[in-house]
Amino acid sequence: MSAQLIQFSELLAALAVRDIRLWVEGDRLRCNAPAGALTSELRDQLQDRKSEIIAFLNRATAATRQPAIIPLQSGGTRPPIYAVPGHVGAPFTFSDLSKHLGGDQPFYALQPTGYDGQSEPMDRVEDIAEYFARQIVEHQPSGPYIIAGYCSGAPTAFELAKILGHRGAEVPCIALFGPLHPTTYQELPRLLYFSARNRREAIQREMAKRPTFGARLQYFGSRLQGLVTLVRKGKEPIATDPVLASRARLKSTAITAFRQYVPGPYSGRVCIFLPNKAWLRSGAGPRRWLRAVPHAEFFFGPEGCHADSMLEEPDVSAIAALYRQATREPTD
Amino acid sequence: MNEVLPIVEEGVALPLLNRADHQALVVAYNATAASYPSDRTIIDLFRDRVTHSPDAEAIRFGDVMLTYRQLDGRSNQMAAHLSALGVGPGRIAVVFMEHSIEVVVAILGVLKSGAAYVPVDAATPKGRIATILTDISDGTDGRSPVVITQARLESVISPDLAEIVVLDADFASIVSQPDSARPSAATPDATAYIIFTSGSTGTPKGVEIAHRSLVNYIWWAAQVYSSGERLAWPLFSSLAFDLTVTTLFTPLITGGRIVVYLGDPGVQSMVVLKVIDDNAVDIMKLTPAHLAMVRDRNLETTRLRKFIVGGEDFKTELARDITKAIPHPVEIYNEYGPTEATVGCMIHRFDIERDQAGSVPIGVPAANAGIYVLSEEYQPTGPGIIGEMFIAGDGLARGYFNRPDLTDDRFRTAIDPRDGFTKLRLYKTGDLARWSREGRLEFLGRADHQVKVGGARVELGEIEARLLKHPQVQECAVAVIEPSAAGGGMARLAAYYVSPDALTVADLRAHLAEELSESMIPTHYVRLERMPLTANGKVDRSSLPEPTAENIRSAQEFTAPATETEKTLAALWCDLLKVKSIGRRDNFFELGGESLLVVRAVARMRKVFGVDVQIRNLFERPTLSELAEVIDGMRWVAHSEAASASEGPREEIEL
Repeated sequence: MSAQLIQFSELLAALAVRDIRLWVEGDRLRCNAPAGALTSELRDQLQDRKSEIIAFLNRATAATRQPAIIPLQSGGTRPPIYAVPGHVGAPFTFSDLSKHLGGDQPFYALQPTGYDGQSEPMDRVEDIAEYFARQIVEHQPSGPYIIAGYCSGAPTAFELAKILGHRGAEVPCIALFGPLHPTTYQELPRLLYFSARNRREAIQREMAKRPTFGARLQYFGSRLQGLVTLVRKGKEPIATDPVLASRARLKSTAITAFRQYVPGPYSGRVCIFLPNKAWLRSGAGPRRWLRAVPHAEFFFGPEGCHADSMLEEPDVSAIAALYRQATREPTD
Repeated sequence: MNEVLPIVEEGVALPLLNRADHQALVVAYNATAASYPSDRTIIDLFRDRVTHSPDAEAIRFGDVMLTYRQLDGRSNQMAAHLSALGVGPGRIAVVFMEHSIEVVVAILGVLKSGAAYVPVDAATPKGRIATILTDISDGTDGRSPVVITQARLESVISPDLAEIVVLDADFASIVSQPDSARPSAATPDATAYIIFTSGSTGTPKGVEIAHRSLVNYIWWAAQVYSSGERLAWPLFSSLAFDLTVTTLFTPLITGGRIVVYLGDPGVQSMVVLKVIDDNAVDIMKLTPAHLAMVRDRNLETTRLRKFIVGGEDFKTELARDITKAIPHPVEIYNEYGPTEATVGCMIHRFDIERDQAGSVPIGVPAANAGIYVLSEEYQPTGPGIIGEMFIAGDGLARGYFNRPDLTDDRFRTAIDPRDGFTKLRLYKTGDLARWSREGRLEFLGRADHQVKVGGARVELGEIEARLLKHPQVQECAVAVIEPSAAGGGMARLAAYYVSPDALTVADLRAHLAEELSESMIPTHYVRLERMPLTANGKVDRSSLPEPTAENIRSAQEFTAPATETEKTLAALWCDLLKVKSIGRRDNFFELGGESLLVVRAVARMRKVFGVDVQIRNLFERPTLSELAEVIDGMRWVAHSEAASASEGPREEIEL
């Protein structure tokens, strides 16, 4: 196989040197070359390897399409999941969940514009959802589609499902994992409560890991110092690294989009997976989804499972089990 | 600060243990009180033996040997010489010598003078010795310690930092001293030795052991290991390692014999093989790593009957192999204990039928020792719950020399978990353990070997135990490869193993996946000819090589990049993933490509190849050759769509 591949690449190189171009039209392979450049020997080789060349060119063309669709698990017979990550847009958010759902569950993470540092991020949830919807339909022209969202990706997932539904596609379920309701960022007291509570819980978790009172105190002091520095500077440091800078820009734009969105009524099935029951009082406003979807179903992870790690090992196994339970078909 | 830890509040029921478990795992387990001569010193016990069998052979090095009477006489002369130099109770003498009869004479001489000895390995670098000497000086009101050394090592010691006694040069003066016994100046409460161990900050810390603790340990060790026999023990391991304390003193209080072995320069770890080939000893104390070297020797005719293994996690496979390799019955003991609890405080005799877990159990507490497994809230844990081991008892060190802060941090006063009201001094080991349902204590390695990879807490020892169950894997270690600050990404696990034949990654992964979760399957697999060892015979984790494409796969699996695109892409990935080279079948994600590294990789590929590579492409075609093919295709399509630069007529045809 190795030898064949090398020969193939040598063949392409030989064509490039002679300025010979090849492209595919339907199932036909066409060639444009300077007069006399295509020798009979080359022509024979091209004709002998026609199907191989067509497959190669088709793969190359397909590789540039649907950049938003990141396949975490391409195979499987179950309705595919298309999942919107949180505001930094990392497709890896769903890697562990995809692994736990197994080889029969197709799983695609959705990559927002701006994540690759090349394209510009979008500042409206509706636009992001439309961008995803277009690519999902290109990738898989007909449903069913299960649309998922994590954290601040929940509103985009919600809007995306609505768009697909309006266009007649089958969306059996919207699965929201630890979703933030947009009002979390719209109401300052709620945002402060949510942020403070989250920060406090994270600090408590870290402190509990420390073996002595002194070590806990030291950790608490270091966090306090970090907070004071942040408050004094008034904002996070500006990243000079282009990748970090583009990520910061994406995060900021995504929060702007999230803050402006108002979820409208939706009649389809919505399953809301919360890390634990206490999350109902977290300030993330999970019950507020009931305003748009009064029939939304809630599922709770075990005590000790946290929103920021619910899709990571080891908590993810419990969340995957909840998802399977929620979407179990009668024949399962 | 040395607060009393609230292990059990008076009158409050234990939340983690029921009454029966508390009685069995906390009270009965620690009922270890045993009598020992707590009012005597190790010198007193040695002198008893001199009186009992003065003409028995005490020590041998090659053709030279000393009887008990001669060893006593020489060490009396040494003590007198040291006393004349002002060495006595409260002073500290560093013993910086190669393995020899003289080093044993020196140690006994120091102890007889009433001073404490500090053993320093002959291969210790100059800088580390200077640090130790400065520390001793700082801890003794600026008074320089005495260093006993040999002429060939003298240049390593800075004369500004110590009073130097060069044993061979001062020989005439020493032998002119009287060899008759003078009353030993040592007392049970005085410090017998200080062993400097590596500190987590890089500064060595001295563990101070009192005569009483030493006597408690050696008295117990003599009963368990010698059982009234006069055994020959090899002195081959580093004197700076407390494992050697057993070999040094147990024979001398039981009428046994020390056989001295000196390692060859540069291959110190091979001295263990000299001991085996010489076949002159009955019992041997060594680390699992050294025992693994012994396994490969022909043991058909060995006279060795007993092995004491300590210092590291002892895998059952190794114990089984040794038992099978020796035709006559052998006793193999797993002895657990940190330096801070005087050599060993737990013991288990290996049973080939009964011991089926990955690691040999560490067993039960030694005489006058207490072992407690406590939760993060300092409460005794129940079966199945991982906790940290705490040690109590007569073996506990006085503390860390000249480090009151560290002593307070590691040696705690707590409410005694057994009765809930008296106070108890505990040493916090940093080792993890849990009780099995059968009431057996399972050792789970260092707490700092518990790492977080991909969000999951991972016990490296658990992975190593599983890896060792592979029929071809003889030794192994698992380490964490931290991500580079600039590259982002996540920590990855690397498995290092020794096996007779090259194994495929797929085989190793499949073997591990039978029992371990995905997060515990290492990313990299490196086959080594042998494990790197420290001077103490432990696996030297700092010397484990960085995974590279050559060493993470066996030769037949590695295929070098072939096309120009593959070569360029390989160079780009190497730079980004910090590996030395990458083969055609290497997978970006398996090499540690994660998170920010993916974005960085895509940005660089776009720049280098001038085509619009997508993150998606990397997920779909993650190996080097696959992605190179995608890039070639993209470049070809871009080339075909671009306007031609060549002039002249063109023809267009369908093929």
